[in-house]
Amino acid sequence: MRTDAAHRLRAVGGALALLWALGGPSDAQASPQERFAAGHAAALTGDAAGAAAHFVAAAEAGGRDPAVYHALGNALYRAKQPGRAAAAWRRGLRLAPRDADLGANLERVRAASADKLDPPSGPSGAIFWAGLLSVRELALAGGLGLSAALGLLLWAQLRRRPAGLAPVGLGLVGAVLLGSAFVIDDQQDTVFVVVPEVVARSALGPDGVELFSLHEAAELAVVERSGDSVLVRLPDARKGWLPASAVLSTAPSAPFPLAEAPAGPQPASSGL
Amino acid sequence: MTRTLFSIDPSWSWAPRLLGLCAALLLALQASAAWAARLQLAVERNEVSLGDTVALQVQLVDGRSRGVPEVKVGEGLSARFRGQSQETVMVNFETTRILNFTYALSAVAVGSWEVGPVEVEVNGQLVRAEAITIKVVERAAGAGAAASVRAALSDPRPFVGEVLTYGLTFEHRGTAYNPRWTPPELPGFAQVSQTEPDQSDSTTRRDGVELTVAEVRLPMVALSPGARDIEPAVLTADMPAPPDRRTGRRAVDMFGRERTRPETFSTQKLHVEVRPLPEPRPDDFSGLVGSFELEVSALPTSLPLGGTLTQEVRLRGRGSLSGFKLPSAATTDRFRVYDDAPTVVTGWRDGLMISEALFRRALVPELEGTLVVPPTRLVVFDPEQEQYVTLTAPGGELRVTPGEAGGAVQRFAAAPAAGGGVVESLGDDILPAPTQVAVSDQSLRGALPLALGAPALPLLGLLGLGLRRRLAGWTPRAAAAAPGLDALPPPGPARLLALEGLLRARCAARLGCAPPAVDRAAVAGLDPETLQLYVDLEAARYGGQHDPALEARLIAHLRAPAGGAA
Repeated sequence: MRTDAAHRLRAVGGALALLWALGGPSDAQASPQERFAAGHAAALTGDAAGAAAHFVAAAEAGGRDPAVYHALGNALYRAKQPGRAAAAWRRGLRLAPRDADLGANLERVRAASADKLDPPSGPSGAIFWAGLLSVRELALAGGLGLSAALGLLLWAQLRRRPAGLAPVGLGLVGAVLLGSAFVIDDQQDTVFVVVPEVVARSALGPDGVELFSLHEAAELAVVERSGDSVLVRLPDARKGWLPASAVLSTAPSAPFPLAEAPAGPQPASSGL
Repeated sequence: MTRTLFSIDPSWSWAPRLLGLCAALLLALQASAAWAARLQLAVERNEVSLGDTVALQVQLVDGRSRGVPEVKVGEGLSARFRGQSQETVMVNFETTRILNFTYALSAVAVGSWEVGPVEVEVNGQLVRAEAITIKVVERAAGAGAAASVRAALSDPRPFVGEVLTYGLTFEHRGTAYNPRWTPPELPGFAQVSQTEPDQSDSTTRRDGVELTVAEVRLPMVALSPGARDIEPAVLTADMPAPPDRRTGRRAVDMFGRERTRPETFSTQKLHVEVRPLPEPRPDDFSGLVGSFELEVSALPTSLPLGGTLTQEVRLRGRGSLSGFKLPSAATTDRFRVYDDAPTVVTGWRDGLMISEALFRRALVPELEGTLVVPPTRLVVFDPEQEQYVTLTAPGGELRVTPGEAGGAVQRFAAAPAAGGGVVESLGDDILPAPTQVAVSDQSLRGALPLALGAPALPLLGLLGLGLRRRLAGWTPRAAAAAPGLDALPPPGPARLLALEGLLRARCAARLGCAPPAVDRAAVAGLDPETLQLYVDLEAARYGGQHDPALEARLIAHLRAPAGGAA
């Protein structure tokens, strides 16, 4: 009986190994790490658009990493798409707010933008630690605080001793940190203009009046989304509707659609 | 099957008929509500003086409306929505609900002007209030001189991008409390970001008469060229109520405070013509519009190679500097320039909005010798001169001396390589991305399994512990009633000894004596069950027999609330 089971297990294992050896990992099954490496390989050959596609695939396969968005921004910058590059770098900055290189690259594109706009303000001032820690770090610190509080309670129950105020304090700190991660993730809803020029209108539909025009790489705060349009707000409180296809979200978990056709000739790569 | 008068058919065949009846009743009620709804216009006075503001009310009686009704007024009037309220009136057991939409109606030109008609949709039907006529007359000489409110623009013909000030001045002969204003709608203008309106209230004396003066100044930027009108602003202040007619004394409330009543004033309509910036614009036009001054901090005479010189560039004047950055400085092979984020401060001085920006620019020399720092130039458009002007701050020269490492720039290595020289910059580009990193999901979504999973483990432990104790019959109340029951030794003589100690303690607490003083005679004074347990326990202990049934009885007795039997 036992011999039969072992024999069956070995047979299944052998069949799986054979399948893996014959087919190998297909492109659809490639890991984010492999796609990230493929993107760098494409960038080395000067194929910036191909590299960008690999980096987007890496992010959408679960590799929403600051390094991936940094490389994606660099590839799009080489492909003469500053708006999308800025959006990728902003996504990277939201995942790693202390990354000075990402900030320098983003500042470079912003300085070259035709619209001199202050970046949209971040989360409310009560969350003063928003720029110090990433949402991942906040969530993990919050989870750690909650688990420490619950662990202390469990220990006190097992030992039949009073737990004191430590679990309450730890639990409060953990809950605040975890909650702030969600608030920050929700409040940082900004977009970058990814087309050369777009006109903001006062209303959806044909009755909307043209209010102001924006240019590529302008960063705007999102007030509302409705179908194929986005209501954005300028730093001076002016608002206007833009087509959603003209902007790209800076939320790291949002899809990152690439331009259908590369804009302009691609220069020789100088590496990422 | 017999049916009585009040019997209900158990087959529920009556239910659809009842539902239909209810639906019909609801529809009838709704239709009657729409039919009964009526709309009316009410205004404080039908004749007003030029510049006066009166309250206009659109009253919707017994109806509901979505949104605010649109009120069309003649050219000599201006209506602004101020708020809505609801009141319910009951007369002869009939309830009437009135929805009030209040507007501030300002008289801006002499003549007879129509207000309305107003139409509101109630339950799909239009309800209409007919137009009313308001007569606007010239203000009589001497009348209304007690209070005046006027608006003015700092520049009625500004240029696009220029900061101008909308000013409102309110004067009242006598005391006026809590003046508050509602700014007008400003199409084609934007408020200057990070700048609050300048407001001041004061009391002064003119010709021996006390005068209350309130001034508000709102800075705004002209966005696009063209002529446009700015509707009147509205100011409300609390005025002392008229003296008591009977006694002639000033009106006071039950606490002795002066009674007041709110009065509303409106400014005149303003006309503004925004001019475009003259063409052609200089190639190096910075985009700034305003009257500015440029200053640059003095340079030192010398600097060691490898050191950093921070040059402070200060730009101040009348205009908006929000979001402005200095043009990139030309970087040469002799030095590099790094700009810091500017600090912008905005304030008011002599009724004018003044902005000041401080830019810090780091210069890093890369070669020894004489370093020539070029002058700072900035091309702005000055609305006062109506032309583009170039602001210039002088540059300077300084001597770059050898650094500590003998002249090499110490930036990337702790010590200069043998025969190495200065690292020259050949170009400028974006910063490279790391390649040798382990890629993972660093987003919030990626962190949630761990962030929520980590607390889940001790939480599961707590839940499991609670479940286990609940199954074992443990409750916090029982544990508090008999402390020590949860830490009993294993079955045997030691366990019986521990149970005896607990029983003695329980009995001693009930008897009001010390545990050693508890004996059979004392326990006999308690209830019979406790006495029986005491007797059985003594027999078991001195008999040396293990009796699980007795242990269970003892534990149940001890877990019961103190003062009674189990």
